[in-house]
Amino acid sequence: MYENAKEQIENICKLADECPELYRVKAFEILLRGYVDSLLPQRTVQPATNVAAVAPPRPHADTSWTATVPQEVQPRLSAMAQRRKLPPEKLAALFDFSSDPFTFSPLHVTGKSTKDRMRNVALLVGARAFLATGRWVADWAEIKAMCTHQNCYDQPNFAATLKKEKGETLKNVTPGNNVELSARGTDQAEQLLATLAGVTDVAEQ
Amino acid sequence: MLPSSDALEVLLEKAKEISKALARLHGAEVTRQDLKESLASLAREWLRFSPSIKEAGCCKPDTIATYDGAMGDLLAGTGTRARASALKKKLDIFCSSLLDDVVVPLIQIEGSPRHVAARQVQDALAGQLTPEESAYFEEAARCLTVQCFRAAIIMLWAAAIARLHGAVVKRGFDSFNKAVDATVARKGAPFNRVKDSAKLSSLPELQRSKDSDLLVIGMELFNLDLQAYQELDRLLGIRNDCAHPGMNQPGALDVQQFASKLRTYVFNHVTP
Repeated sequence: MYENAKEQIENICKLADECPELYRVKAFEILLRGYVDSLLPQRTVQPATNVAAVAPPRPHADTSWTATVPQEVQPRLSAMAQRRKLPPEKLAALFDFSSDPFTFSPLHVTGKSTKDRMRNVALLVGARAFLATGRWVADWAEIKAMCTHQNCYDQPNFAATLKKEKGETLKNVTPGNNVELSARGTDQAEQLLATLAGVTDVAEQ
Repeated sequence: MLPSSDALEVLLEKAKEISKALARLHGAEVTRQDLKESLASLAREWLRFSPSIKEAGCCKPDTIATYDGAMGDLLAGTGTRARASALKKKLDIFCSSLLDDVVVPLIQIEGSPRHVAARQVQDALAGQLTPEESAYFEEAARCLTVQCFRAAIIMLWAAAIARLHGAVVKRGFDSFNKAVDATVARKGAPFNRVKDSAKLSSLPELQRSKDSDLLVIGMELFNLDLQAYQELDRLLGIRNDCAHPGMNQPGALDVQQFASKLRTYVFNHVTP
């Protein structure tokens, strides 16, 4: 085991001597320990393939989002996230639950035209109403307010645009009161939320 | 009362129409009586809305004062000889920036989730309430808009009890007392809570009676089953929590849920 120990220790002494006097003893100890350790039997390393075969520990489901979301909203939000194959925390992040009643987090509603954006706003407001009350009914004034916020409020054509959606994405349109989303509307509203939540990231996972 | 943004949009459209009509007259004196009347009516309508808009605090007071001044001048102008161009100049102050200065801030208020929640509570029972119940609901809605959720729950419960009291009076105290007898004859909870002394002969006595007793007797009187009773008893518990000091902190959704349950178990079930 220590066949050429004398030679190795002489080398260690030479190296230690080259260090400043203050560090010579410490350097000698470190070098000697290194030499001794190099002679000890090495711990067997598992082949890389075995490492890969071991499943990584399953991450615990992130439930921190539930802390801020009102209890009444949680089941509807979770179910919607499940339907759209979204992590619920991503969906929850689209809303600001720090205010009561909850509002939308800052988000940008896109669309090909102002009319398209107004329609998308109505669908999103309907989705928020569903999460809050369980009914896909969007308040007229809330749609208007969000349209002004999103800078897509076309005052002369606002009512006409929503009325045109009747039979398409909207089931009922009562100007000045509310709009009720149709089955197609609810589906598109959920799709819109999924897009805003970044569903493409999820698909890549 | 604060006008709706829809009402102001209609007013703005009217102002734009009048402005177009004035533009066609160029600098000539306005002699058409119908035009003068439209202008006067527009100005009066604005001046009627203006104080409540100012009070709401959603717009700059200076801006409202400018519009008030322009509309006051227009109103005065309709009573004297005035050129169309002069009137149009005043009116255009109103037409050019009312949307951004007043209508949009008003839309933001109307569309805020608190106001939406308040409207949802009111709309949930629209057309089903008596004037007395309606007053409590309106007050609950107002409480919601200023985030007084405990007060809103108390008001909603008051509306429900008003419905039950009204129903007792309508059915007559004899029916009520028979229901008391039937309740007392039953054994076990919750019937054993009610004593024979719960019998009544006047409205003041009814008003002094305990809500919890009324719910138990209501099982007999209004054909409420045990589940409906238990749900109402829980709602009474929530109401009591809201009315007494404690750590209970209901939110807007709790108020909405409370209203929704009252609708199911009281307003849809017990006719006034």
